[in-house]
Amino acid sequence: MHELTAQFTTSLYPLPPSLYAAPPADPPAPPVPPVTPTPPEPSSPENGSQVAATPPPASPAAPPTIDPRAWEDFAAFRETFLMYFTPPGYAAALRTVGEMLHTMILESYNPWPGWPESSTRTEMRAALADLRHLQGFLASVGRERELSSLDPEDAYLSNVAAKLSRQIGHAADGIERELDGAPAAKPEGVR
Amino acid sequence: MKRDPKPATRTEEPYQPPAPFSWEERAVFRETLLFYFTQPEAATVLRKVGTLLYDMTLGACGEWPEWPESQTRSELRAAVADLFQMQGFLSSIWEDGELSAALAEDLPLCKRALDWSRVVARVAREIDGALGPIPGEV
Repeated sequence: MHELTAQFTTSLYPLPPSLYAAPPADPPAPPVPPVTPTPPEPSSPENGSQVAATPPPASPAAPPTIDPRAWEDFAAFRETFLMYFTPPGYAAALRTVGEMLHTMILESYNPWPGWPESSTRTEMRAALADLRHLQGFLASVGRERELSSLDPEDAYLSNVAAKLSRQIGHAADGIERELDGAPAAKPEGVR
Repeated sequence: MKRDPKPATRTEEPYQPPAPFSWEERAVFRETLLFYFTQPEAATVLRKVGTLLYDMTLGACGEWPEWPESQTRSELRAAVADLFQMQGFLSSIWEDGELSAALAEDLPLCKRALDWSRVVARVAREIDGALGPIPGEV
């Protein structure tokens, strides 16, 4: 039994440690869940839907801590949208609907028209679009210190958002260049 | 990624990612979901539905409970969640390359996806570190 236990607690396709640790020194320790021991997958049969992806938040309005490995459990709705749903259960219900939509799509797409490019390039274009959204969202938070009266701590955070919006923008520019066929420089912050 | 990497059927009006910076018009559905909708105009219609939902939400949320933190902090916590989701998506593209689930000509792009996933993760961690814990949580 010991051998069996060891076998089934090891992921078939483990992600490289660098995904969670990189870059190693800057910034400090990542807040993502630990790799070992591996917690139950959010959408595993043990715990049902993605609503169980994280422990119940202390506040009904708190967004979940997303394990990047469980990205498909949050595939439909942006958390920057769900943050408005503060009544208890509302956001969780929408995440469940999102998981249902995603599952239905994966089970239905076969008869649909194909993409004009490979799936990898199409996925990268979609990722680019979502990065542009995040760039715009963070830039908007970054403008709050100019448009609103923020306390010093929030003004600092707003400034951080403005700076990081530009970093996301650089990454998106890199993807765009790569998709357009131009050679792209190594993304900032990657060693 | 469970789709055929090079589908035989071509659509005349392919998935079109939105233009940069019009983020409020793309506030609801992730583009990494909408790209599955290859039927003509389908993704556009869903984006319009999203805009409607977003406007309705902004109209209704004034009556809903307050966030436990300031708006700025709440927005950034939500952004952190979306950044980690994006990290996972990008790393899944890299994983496709590692598992030979991608076309040979796309393998360099798959490798680059890992670099970008790291950039996104670093930004998420930097915001998360600046935010600190949620009040009332350890």
